[in-house]
Amino acid sequence: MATIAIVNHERCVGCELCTRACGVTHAIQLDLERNWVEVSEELCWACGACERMCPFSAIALPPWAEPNKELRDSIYAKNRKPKKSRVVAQAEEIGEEEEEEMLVGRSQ
Amino acid sequence: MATPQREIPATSPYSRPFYKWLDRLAPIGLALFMMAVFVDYSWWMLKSPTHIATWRSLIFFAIWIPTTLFYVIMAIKDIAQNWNGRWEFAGPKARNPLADTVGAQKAEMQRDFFRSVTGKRYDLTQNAFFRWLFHRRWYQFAAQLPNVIIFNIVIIAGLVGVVNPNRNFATVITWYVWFGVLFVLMIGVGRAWCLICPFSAQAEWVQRLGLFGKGKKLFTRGLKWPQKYSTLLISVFFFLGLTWAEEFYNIAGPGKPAFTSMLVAGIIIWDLFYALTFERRSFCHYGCPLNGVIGVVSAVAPFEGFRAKDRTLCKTCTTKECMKGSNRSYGCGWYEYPGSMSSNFYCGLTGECFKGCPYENIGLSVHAPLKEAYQPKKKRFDLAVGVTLMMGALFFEIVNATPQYAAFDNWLSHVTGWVAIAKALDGQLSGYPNPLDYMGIILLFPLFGWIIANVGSWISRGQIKARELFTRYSYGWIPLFGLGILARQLPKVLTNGPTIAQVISDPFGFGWNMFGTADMNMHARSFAYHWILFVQLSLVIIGAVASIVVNQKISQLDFRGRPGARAINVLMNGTIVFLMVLLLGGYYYIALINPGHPLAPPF
Ligand code: SF4
Ligand code: SF4
Ligand code: SF4
Ligand code: SF4
Repeated sequence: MATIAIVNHERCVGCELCTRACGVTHAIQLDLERNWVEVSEELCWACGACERMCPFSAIALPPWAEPNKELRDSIYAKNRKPKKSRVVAQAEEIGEEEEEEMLVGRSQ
Repeated sequence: MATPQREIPATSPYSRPFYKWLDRLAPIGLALFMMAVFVDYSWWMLKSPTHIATWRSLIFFAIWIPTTLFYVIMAIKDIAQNWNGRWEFAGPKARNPLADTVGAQKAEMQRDFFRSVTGKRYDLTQNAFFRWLFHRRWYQFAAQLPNVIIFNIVIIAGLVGVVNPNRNFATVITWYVWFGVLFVLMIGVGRAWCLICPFSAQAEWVQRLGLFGKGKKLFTRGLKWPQKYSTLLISVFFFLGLTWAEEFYNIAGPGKPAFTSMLVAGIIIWDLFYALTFERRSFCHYGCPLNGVIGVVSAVAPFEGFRAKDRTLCKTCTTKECMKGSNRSYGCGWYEYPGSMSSNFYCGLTGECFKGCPYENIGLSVHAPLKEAYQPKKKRFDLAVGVTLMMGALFFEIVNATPQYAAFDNWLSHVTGWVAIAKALDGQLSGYPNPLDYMGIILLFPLFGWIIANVGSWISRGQIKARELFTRYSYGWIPLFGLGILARQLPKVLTNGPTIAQVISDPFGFGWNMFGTADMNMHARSFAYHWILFVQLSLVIIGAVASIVVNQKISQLDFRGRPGARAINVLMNGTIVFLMVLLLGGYYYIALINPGHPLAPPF
């Protein structure tokens, strides 16, 4: 089995912060029925960005895994790209792009 | 799905001088209260006939002085920081317009999961006073402090006080008063006990290095609790262990107060260990023996806990101050996210999310009781197992009052050699109850639930998995369990409760008279008033009726239209009736064989 992030279903509350953090590969999806997130095995590159993001440490790489730092940094770089100011973003119509922007969000 | 909500009034009480001064002075009042208790006890201690240099007063002062000093230093720090309104709420931010489009869409996709939002409710935070109160940093502290003081006195009383349990603060408070209060709080408000819990309060103060302030640094290693052991069952097993230990050492019934004291101190130290090692309130989730009981019975309560008023807004909120904390609040210690909370199981009512949310999007609603038991879409298997195990513990507590059980237990202990082990532990112990039959009785109930679930699965011709039936219908056991266990505690609480008058004036049995009530001659009765039986029986019947209502709703919400749903519903209701009859019979039988009881034969 590939090394991927593992979700703790007891503690995951479906806040989707990790979904936003996983902005490059989009490996994390919310399970709508159960309100927890699932990680897709094909998409996850084990970068560990989600682990750093989750406030409740409900998602983590297995303890033996070395986080893929390069990818993580590229994710951070991507998310840090200059954002449209809030006012402009709000004034615009909500289209596909907006939704995308919102999902990726800003991770700090 | 957006819940219709009223606008939050623009004017809030924060700006008025009266509220400002109340905010400044309330913590000072609490600190003064703490000092007053300290001085009062110290004065009585010094004045009492026991000589100052005895080990008793040494223990007293060894615990009393450092803890009080710690609290006073922290209190001064927090009061000073609070003085100029450092943690004041600036007023709600404007609503993100995306909430009405993207947010609403996303919430709509989860309509089924969010079904618990429907129904009548009254939101307390519509009221300006409650909003003001929940924004106070000292809101929880004010609730905790009296309790912390009481339980610190319990520890001391158990160690230094007289051995007669009915004259000792430790036994009387913990087993006669606290248990009653605990159940009333659970059934009435939910995790209200956790709001005022002295165990976690002290651990959290150390973890946060402050009594009610919001500091920057935490004093903890902040490790993550391992995923593998993230389950409610840990806490249920601790509960079973505690129940057993309580019988074994006869802590509650009534035994040596020192055991009570060690138990309470043990829980606090253990909690402290968790707080210093793990993040947030890991202890409450994965360590507290009471967590399971309190959480489960909370489902009966008509409070839904702090929860987002408008989930669409949360869906578009990227900062999530409620979980992560802000500069005026900590993130939720209970690992709860108000935006998706669907049951009050894990809401400790600490109100941090309320302070944190920049949109004032958190409410605290009152709704019809029992709702929390059937509404949640997500029902948890570990919780279901926990409920059935605890039901087993309840039955054990009934069975162990019968002579038949005592005889059997005695026999088993002799056969297995348990008596010798117990004697080796403490010469006075009889080895009762034997852990083997204890576990045996308890395990009967999950087994019973599982068999019934399998029968249900068979009725549906395998269309519904037994695991699903077990998980969902175990929630139906909750009201019966809650009221049943209340009924079990009732005689002890009611018959021994009056001794409180004596012990609050004379907590250690040293002959003090702090409030002038020490001479009120209110002895504990050796047996229950005869009418208690009828109260017990009615509680059980009410519990069973409530359970059946919950079952009915579960059938409707979770299983409507599924194959065999009707028959399964009847089966599950039958289970409840069966459990009810067992409980009724148990209580009646205990009352009958109680020699002092007016219903005892011949009548
Ligand atoms: S950030 Fe954590 S709690 Fe939130 S959805 Fe992801 S795993 Fe779950
Ligand atoms: S480890 Fe990286 S790629 Fe995998 S789910 Fe987490 S953020 Fe996405
Ligand atoms: S779960 Fe236990 S330790 Fe935590 S607040 Fe509740 S009673 Fe206290
Ligand atoms: S409750 Fe939490 S997630 Fe919802 S709007 Fe407030 S801070 Fe954001």
